[in-house]
Amino acid sequence: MMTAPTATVCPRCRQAVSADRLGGLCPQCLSRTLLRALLAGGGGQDGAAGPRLGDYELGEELGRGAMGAVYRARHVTLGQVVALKVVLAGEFAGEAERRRFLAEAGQAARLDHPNLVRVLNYGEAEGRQFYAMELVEGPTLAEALRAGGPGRFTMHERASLLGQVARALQHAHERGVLHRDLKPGNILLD
Amino acid sequence: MPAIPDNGVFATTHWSVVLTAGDGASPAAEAALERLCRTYWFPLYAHLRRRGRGPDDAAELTQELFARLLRRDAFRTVGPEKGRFRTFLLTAADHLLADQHAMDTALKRGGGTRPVELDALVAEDRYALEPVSSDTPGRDFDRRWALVLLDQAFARLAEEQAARDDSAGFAHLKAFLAADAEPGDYVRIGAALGVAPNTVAKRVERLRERYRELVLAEAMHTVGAPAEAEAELRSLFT
Repeated sequence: MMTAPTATVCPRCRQAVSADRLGGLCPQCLSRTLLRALLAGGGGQDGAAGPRLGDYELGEELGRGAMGAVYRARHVTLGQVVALKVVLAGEFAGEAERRRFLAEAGQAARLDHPNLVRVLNYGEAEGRQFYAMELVEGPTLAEALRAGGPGRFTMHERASLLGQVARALQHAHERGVLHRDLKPGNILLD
Repeated sequence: MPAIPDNGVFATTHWSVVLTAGDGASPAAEAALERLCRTYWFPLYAHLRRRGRGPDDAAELTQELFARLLRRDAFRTVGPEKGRFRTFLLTAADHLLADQHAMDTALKRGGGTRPVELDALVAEDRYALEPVSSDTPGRDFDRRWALVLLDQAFARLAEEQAARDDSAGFAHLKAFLAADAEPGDYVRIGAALGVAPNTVAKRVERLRERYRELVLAEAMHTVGAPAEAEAELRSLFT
């Protein structure tokens, strides 16, 4: 049997508060302290960990596309820091699509080339599909071009880049993997 | 130490389970959705009151909305937002308010629909007790939502402390979740608990950290991806 709440007043901010909720603490003051803790700790500083997905501890969001988001993440037992691509909830229309994603991630995991970002792990956790990639800290080619303008690369560097991209694609094609979204934003420089 | 220890507090993300199920029902999605509805009915009730509905109408419409959610009708009209349960619920409520026919039907049916147990009388008392705000209805809804998060996490924290047989300590320390210590506070409490002042300081620090973790865990249940929980909290509490 529930009883009607009783009122009291916060000694600090003088707001009316319920004596029956939050142990009689003032929600306003509680929120303020919590926000401070969030801003100070934020799951990042003081060695505090962030939210988890399976064996990965999620850090900052690195990017977001139509299908999913990429987070900096750390494997909790191996300590390996990765870029974790997580498919957005409800993104897949059905079981066939879900299976295809996992099959493609499996294929990508078998590629091994110095100019390809390695897929280190893939799977599902809490109903979400993910794959973990080697974390490349460098900017994308698109970012580098935006920052430096067309003169950012010498002719020699351009040729070298093109060669590396071509060799990486050849490696993937020979193993039956098509990129299908090749663009400067998807080329990482390290 | 992980932010969300593996102790059952954060077994699944309820809203992502519901979203993954989409239009189709699954026992896990049903259970997750029911839990979310039960937890978050008050902000919705208050939102409907704020939008000019009387106590009885607000209670009936809240029930109608949950009935639609549980029947998954709302997923057809709103479309599963690839976002947060909070946004979804507010959108679904506004759709319902705009649908005069559905409203009339719900209100005519009266007490016919009881998908989620709620005590309208207590809800109204609680609504009356909360300060009148000049915020927009949307912001007001968010504020009440944040209160539910705080409430749920606090209840969990109190349970944990009781399970550790530390209710007495918690009774002394909980005030520091909402305020900084004044000079002499830790000395006084240390004397009462039979521990050194710096031990009190450490326990306060741990308690605050654990509360932050629990609020984060609660928020995770309402977002589409665990990593969005912190952004959700920041947007609610900033």
